[in-house]
Formats: sequence, C-alpha cells, structure tokens
Amino acid sequence: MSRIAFIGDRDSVWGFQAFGIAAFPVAGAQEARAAFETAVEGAHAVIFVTEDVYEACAEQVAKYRDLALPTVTVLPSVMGSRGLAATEIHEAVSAAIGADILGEAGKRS
Amino acid sequence: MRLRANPNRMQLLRLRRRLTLAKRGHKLLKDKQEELMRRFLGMVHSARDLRADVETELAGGYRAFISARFEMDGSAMASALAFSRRTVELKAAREQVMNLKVPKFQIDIPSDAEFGYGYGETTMDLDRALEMYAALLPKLMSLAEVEKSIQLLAAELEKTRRRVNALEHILVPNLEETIRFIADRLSEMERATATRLMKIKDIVREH
Repeated sequence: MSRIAFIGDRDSVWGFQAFGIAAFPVAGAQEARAAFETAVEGAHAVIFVTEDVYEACAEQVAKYRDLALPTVTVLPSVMGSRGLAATEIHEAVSAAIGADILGEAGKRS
Repeated sequence: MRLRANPNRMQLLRLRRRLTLAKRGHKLLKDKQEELMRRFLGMVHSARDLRADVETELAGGYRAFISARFEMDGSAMASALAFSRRTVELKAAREQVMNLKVPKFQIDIPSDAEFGYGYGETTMDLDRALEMYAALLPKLMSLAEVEKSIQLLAAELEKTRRRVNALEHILVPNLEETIRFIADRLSEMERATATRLMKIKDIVREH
C-alpha cells in the first residue's frame, strides 16, 4: 500500500500525473464520491483531495479518520484556498484541548 | 455521590484497594495526557507553517501549469504527462507514538531522470510547473503525515482527557466519600458496642 492519489478538478490534478500519482479528474459531487471510493479500493496510502471534493465526500472521509492509512489530506485547488484545512485542524485542536487555544497560540508565535 | 456498599470491614478494605488503583490509574493517564499534549502542540505549530508554505507554493505551481495549458494542445499535454518517466516512489509505514500508530511517508523522486516527453511539443511553462510540483511533493507528504497525526492525536487526547476527568472528579471523590462513610459507621458501631458492654457490666454488678 504505497501509492498516491489526487482527486479534484482536472486542472488541479492533471499535472501530478507526470509523477505517477493517480489523478482522478472529477466534476461534481457525485463523481467525486465515486472517485474517492475507487481511490480507497485501489489501496492508495495517501489521497489528496481538493476542498470541493472534501466537502462532497465528508462522510466517506470520516470513516478513515481514525486509521493511519489511507491518509486523506485537503489541498487547495487551482481556484485558490478557502482555508478549509486550517479550519479542520483548528477544530481538532479545540476538541483535544477542550478550549479554543489556537487563537492564543497564533498570537504567541 | 456515595457508592452503594454495605458498611462492613470487608467492603472497606475492598474500597481502599480500589481507591489506590484509581489513583494510580489517574496518575498514569495524567502523565500520558501531558506527553501527548507536548507532542501535539509541537505538531500543530509545524503543521501551520508547513500548510502555509505548501499553499503558496502550490498556487505558484498551478499558475505555471495553467499557462502551460493555454499554450499547449490538450492531447499533446495528455501524452506528455502520460509518458513522463519521473515516477515517484512512496514508502508508507506506520510509526508508533504512545499507543497510537501514525503514518510515516518517505518519498523518492528520481531527480536525474528526464521527464521523458519530447521537447518539441511541450512548453517551458510545463517544465517549470512540473519542476515546482516536484519540489513540492516532499512537503506535501510531510503535510499529509503531520496533519493525519494531529487528527489521530487529537482524538486520543480527547479520550484521555475524559478518562482523567472521570477519575479525578467522579470516581476518586466517590470512593473517598464512601470510605469515609463506612469508616464512620464502623467506629460508631464500635462505640455502641463499648457503651452496651459497659451498661451490661453495670447491670450484672447490681445483682
């Protein structure tokens, strides 16, 4: 299990094909969910998804949250970043600590 | 809240044993929580810097790629990308952090290999975009690694925190209260017996 997949709109994922990364160009939530399923079944260790795909596949992604592999990571698409990944981490931090400390931590550093 | 227990010596001893166990468990969990927290905060800091880096660099790569897309024919692009020989090798492993398994990725990019497509059909922008992607890949892998670790650690920290709190604020005080109650009851019974005996002695002496 040591392959990489990238699911997202065509312009975002296409270039990564040159490195042997499995690119899944998708348009729309339906295709995104199907592609995610295929990527997981294809035993990809790392699955990169764009923010749109991540939102479309939220339920499927949640199933793999507690497992080390496959690792699902959100990347911005060519359209730019909406800071979804940062929000995710923020939520994880507040859940872990029981208080919203990232605001403070941001000020400290 | 007092636990349901009969006030006798047997129960008292049992509860005392449970209390020491609960205290020891609490201490261990607390240590675990502190260690997890230490690692977690370190990870959160590095993840934030890494994420910012990746997002800016990726945006640059995308820009170069998009301009290549405008300059090149779609089918030429597709074949150029499909024939690239710079295939990366990913080694995925699991690393143990406390009781958790977090992913560990190692990526191998053959840097000397040519992309393998003809230079005639491709543009500089494509080369530039792919170079940027290549430079970005190791960072992408460490980002995936550290963000996943953060999620796993966060879940574990939450669980541990709940356990520590349950022990500290519920089980230990309950046990202590029950032990106190039984101890009071037992000494009360002892005093009762003592006075009863004294009384009986008096009555016996009068006869």
